[in-house]
Amino acid sequence: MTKQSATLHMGRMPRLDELFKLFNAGKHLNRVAEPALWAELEQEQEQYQTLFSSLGYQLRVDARGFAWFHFDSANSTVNSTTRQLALLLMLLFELKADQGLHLGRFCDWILDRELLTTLLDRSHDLLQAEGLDEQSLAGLLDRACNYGFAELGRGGWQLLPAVWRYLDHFEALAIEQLDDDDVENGVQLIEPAEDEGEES
Amino acid sequence: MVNPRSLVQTLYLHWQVVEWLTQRSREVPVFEQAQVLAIMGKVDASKTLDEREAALRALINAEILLLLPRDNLLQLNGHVVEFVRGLTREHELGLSAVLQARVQGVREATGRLNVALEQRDLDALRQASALLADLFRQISLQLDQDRHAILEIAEKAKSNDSQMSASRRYRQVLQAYDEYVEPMAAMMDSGPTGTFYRYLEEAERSLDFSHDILTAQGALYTLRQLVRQAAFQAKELRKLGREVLKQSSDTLLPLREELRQHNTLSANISFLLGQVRKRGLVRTFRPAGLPLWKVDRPKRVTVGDEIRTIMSQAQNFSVISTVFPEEAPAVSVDELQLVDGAELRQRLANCLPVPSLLDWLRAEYTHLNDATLLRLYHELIGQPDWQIGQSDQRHSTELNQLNVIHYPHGIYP
Repeated sequence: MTKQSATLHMGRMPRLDELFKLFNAGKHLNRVAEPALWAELEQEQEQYQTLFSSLGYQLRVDARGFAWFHFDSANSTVNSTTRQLALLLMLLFELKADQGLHLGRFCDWILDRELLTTLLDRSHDLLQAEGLDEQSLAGLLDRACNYGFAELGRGGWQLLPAVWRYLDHFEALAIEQLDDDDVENGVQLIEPAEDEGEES
Repeated sequence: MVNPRSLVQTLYLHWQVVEWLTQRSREVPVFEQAQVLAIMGKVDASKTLDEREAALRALINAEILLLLPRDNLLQLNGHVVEFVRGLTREHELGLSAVLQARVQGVREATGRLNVALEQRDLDALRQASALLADLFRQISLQLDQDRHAILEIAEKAKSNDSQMSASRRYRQVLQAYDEYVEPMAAMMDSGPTGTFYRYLEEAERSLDFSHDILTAQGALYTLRQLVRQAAFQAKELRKLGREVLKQSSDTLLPLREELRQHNTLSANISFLLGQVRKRGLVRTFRPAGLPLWKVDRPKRVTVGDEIRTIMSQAQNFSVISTVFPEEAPAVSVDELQLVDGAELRQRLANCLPVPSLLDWLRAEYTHLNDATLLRLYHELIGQPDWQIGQSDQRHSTELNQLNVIHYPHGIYP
């Protein structure tokens, strides 16, 4: 463990307990959902990051208004849930794009049962392949609330800024796969020369 | 004609290569041998050139790849292309005319079925039912393939560069809509051009009627089963047609009407959804990169019942007064005697050898008390500077108040 040379002023972190409990439960902290806690974190961000780092946690704070404990691996249940949530979000964003809505304003959308039914009608095959029906989609959104990706309000669920993590990943993955395709297209021209190299 | 089993086995052994070639065949109908070898190298870089050439020969021998006579070019076997495209959802959009022709075929087959019924010709009835079942299966397959092809067209349009102009991006979409969706909608309309449902309904009615007649008259079980199955397929096909038309319109209409909010994010999402549709969710999204979390269950700490005992003892605590012991008198200064250590050592060195140190000390320092004498004795015999020997004879030395019986230590030069 590296030695922390910084001084930690515990007196300046009065809500440390609450913040740690929140992050340790796997939840994302969103500015719009918990403004007081967010203000506390923002004020002493460096202190919190140092403290959590010395405890072995990687606290990441995004300027778009959300923070989380970052992990590079998880158990199979979490892997499955995160994939299903990715699918649900992609289908939702595609629907909204088709309706002409601006995708960056996703925090304003209200997701109700009617919307879930629409998604099921549009993408029945994809959702059925994952064993998702209306009930399980609702359950998935409830779980998203537990982890700080959405909150339940009047009329339905609303997405929180932490969803940007998924959107960033979609963009990165699409670019990576498109780049791979480009490389493959070019391979047919290059490989005959490489074959000669292999022979020698 | 190649043995089907060996074709299928070779397909299994070289599936990835064939899948790649099938994808490429949409742009390039024929391949050079070098291109095929390059694709094999891309699929499995560990294969040597000899192994790749052997694989190529295997594909040619199994007639998965056909050697064209004139240019020595290679083309994929049509059956293999259809099969692989069917499994990997890489269809081309079928012609609506083909669909219409098949639907017309349903009408003709229904006519033959009715004639066979009137003439009580069971053989002709069997043939007509089998033909209807086959047509339904083909139409169902085509509708499913076309649905995927339309989704692919839409995904390509949506995932195209957002800088491209809308008309260029959606050219294929507009084409698909005009050449496929609109004719299909007309065919499935309830108006005079709406042949799809009408012919299917007639076929279904004829099949149901045939089944009733066969059940009443008595006929072979297999024939009745064939007729019943064909009727069931007709019902399913009506439902499928409705679904496919709705899905195709819903997919293409927003694009056609240019309602879509198109930007890089929506393009990327459409591209990824296409990947999920073809490859599945697990293959498209590896866990790395996706948001992950860990939930640490809080550890509960409880106390045992012993705490209750301690609490009751604390509650019933009563003060117990303890008497401190009397203060012992301090050691008086008189009892501490000053000894000139240097002088003592000098005197001792001058008197060597000393067979009994304690006797010598008693004799030389009569003014010292017993405690001091004994202390000096122990200090001196502990010092490494002297050559000390101990007698094995017991000896008694009389001090002021004590009589010490000991094995005396002596100091020798």
